[in-house]
Amino acid sequence: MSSLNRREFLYMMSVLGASSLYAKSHKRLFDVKNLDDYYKIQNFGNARFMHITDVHAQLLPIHFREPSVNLGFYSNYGKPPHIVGTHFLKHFGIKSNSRAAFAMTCVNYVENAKRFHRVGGFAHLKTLTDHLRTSFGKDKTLLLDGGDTWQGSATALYTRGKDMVDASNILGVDIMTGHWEFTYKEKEILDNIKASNSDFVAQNVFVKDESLMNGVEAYNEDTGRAFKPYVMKKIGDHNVAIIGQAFPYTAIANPQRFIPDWTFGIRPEEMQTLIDKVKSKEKPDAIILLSHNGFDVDKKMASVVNGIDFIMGGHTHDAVPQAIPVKNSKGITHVVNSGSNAKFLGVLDLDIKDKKVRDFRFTLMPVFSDLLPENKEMKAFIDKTRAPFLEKLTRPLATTDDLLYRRGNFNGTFDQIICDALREVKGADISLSPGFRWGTTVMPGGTITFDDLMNHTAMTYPETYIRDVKGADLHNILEDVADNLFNKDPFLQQGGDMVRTGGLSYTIDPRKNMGKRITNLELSTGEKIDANRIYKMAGWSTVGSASTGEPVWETVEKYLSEHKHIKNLKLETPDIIGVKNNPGIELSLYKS
Amino acid sequence: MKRRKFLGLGFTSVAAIATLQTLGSASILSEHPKAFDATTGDAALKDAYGTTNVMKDDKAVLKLPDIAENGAAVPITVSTSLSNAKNMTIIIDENPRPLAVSWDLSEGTIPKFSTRIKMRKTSNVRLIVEDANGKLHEAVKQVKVTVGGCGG
Repeated sequence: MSSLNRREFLYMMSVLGASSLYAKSHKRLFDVKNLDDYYKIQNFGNARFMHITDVHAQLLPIHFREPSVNLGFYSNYGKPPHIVGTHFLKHFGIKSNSRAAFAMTCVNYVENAKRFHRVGGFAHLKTLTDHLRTSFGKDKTLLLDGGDTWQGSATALYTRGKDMVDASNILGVDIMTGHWEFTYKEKEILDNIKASNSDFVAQNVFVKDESLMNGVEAYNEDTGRAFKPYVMKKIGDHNVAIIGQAFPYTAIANPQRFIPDWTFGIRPEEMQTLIDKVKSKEKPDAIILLSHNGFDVDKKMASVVNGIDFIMGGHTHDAVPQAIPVKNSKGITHVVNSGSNAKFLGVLDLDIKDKKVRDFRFTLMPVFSDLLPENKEMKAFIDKTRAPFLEKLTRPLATTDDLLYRRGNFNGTFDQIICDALREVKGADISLSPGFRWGTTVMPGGTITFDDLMNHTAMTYPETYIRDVKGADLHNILEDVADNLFNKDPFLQQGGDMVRTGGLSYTIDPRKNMGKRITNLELSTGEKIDANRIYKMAGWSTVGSASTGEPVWETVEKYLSEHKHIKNLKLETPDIIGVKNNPGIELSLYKS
Repeated sequence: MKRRKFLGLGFTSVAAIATLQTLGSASILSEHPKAFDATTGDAALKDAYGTTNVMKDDKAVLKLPDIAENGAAVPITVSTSLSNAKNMTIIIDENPRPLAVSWDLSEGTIPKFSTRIKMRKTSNVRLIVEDANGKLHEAVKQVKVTVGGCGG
């Protein structure tokens, strides 16, 4: 069993014969004493695709606690990514308290963070991508970015995403697609794309017919597509097509007012038509889909569309160390996902021959900031970018005894602070905060800086509101969001988590139909919500039209500066029905 | 042809057809005025065609988003593979007045239309195609209208 001590890194698992799940993972050297050894993987095949996604503008190393609740039902019950915590360790054969366990799960998170330190950081990531590019061959390597890159930090907001365009240029991103990129204005987006060295691809974004008639420009006036749908890349001796799929529900989950001329959608028929056209016109050796669909949507798309070799996906922030095979009418498409926050780099090596992918290796590599030295050029760029704002960003707002995080299907502790702040500062009975999946983690015993707060709130529609809401309407809001998360059909899932609530508790049965999932709505006083009564509700991030209140970071800063210290946070998570044996929840960590 | 020019033409010709329909004597609107006031989809169907018997096959083709970006203007494209179809009708079951639009097709019309429909809430949308023999063919798709999500 002594060899099991070496199971920290997944790409060595096949060497050890540990788990069949890693049969398609890189073999590596046994000696793991220093950087070169940790990240020295045995090259495979003749084409390398590196993949980052959902980095949410995190230029600096961060902490990011993976979810303790990520429920899957029906065909996705107990399937990755709906396996968390100790279930995840067991499923993938990972040793507790190893570096891999720290990177990919919430188990013993605080203790492990003390041992293994921060992850990610663009200066560290660049060292890794440069290393993997050079060791494999620059002409045979591409770096793909799945989007959600230009949003998520204060500096990204202040520079309207430009700091991330520059950082991505230094990093050497070759191709990208988008989602939160579309929360800037159309012209800003197009200007950023122009300033970017990478190809921006999206087959599922179209200029609305009405806008076309009014003279709005499209990438292709015949198809109406707003962006280049795919790009051909020469990789070694082979030609590879990379198709883009932006987040299909951008115009529903995010404000249309910033992008009035564009319309989205999953568009599987258009995808199939495009693939068929690419095949006949370009005769590619392989087709990769760079997707922001979300894991379950990608899996369904892989089953209804044929001809894609690999989907490199994002949006749902899932760190899944395995390429998942999905059958369709003409073959198999593999789906991979590479986590979030620059915490992971997906590395996919293909062996291409005779117009076919003969075999592959996929490895999800955690970016350990303590093992990877900073790249000097990137470090200098980050320092320069932050310098004008540094004093403001590093300003301490409060200290905390609690671990502060967001990610998970229901309230995280950082959301709880936001919800508590909205209620207290605005004098509301109830508060709501969106179930975003971005937002980094603050360690207990640490300081909450303005930077940390912005990592949870920096976006282009942060305005707060307080308004009257009828009990029945409140119920409808929760039902609507729950249906976006738990709908039986993955094509109707929008990929966020459940809306966070303050001053409000409820029971949820995710497997029920819309309108029947939420019961027992109660105020925190224990008083039942009356369908006909009016309540004062506070919130932020309105998608329809802009609210008139101050940006939410001002609300939360006021609250934090008054409270000065956070401890014994009461996490308002719902009672969930029917999840006792579901591997998508770590019950020991729920409600704690 | 550039899409912009084509769209311009398209809008013009739809308008022309609509005018012809209004003038024509055999339209649903003139012969069955109650159909547009019916409050259930089946009542509209019954009044328009005298029957609710439809064949669920692949002759009627309906293209709609899974979730509407804007319930007030949901893009819809309808078509049929049947030659000499007589009529195409769109029914939105959950709308207060489910019968949304009905096209009478004159000979030689290409049976494909794109338009926008207004949807009050999540509903099944139905396309009914009346073939040359007076038989009805149906396609159904549910379109979700949300109150605003929190994806991210």
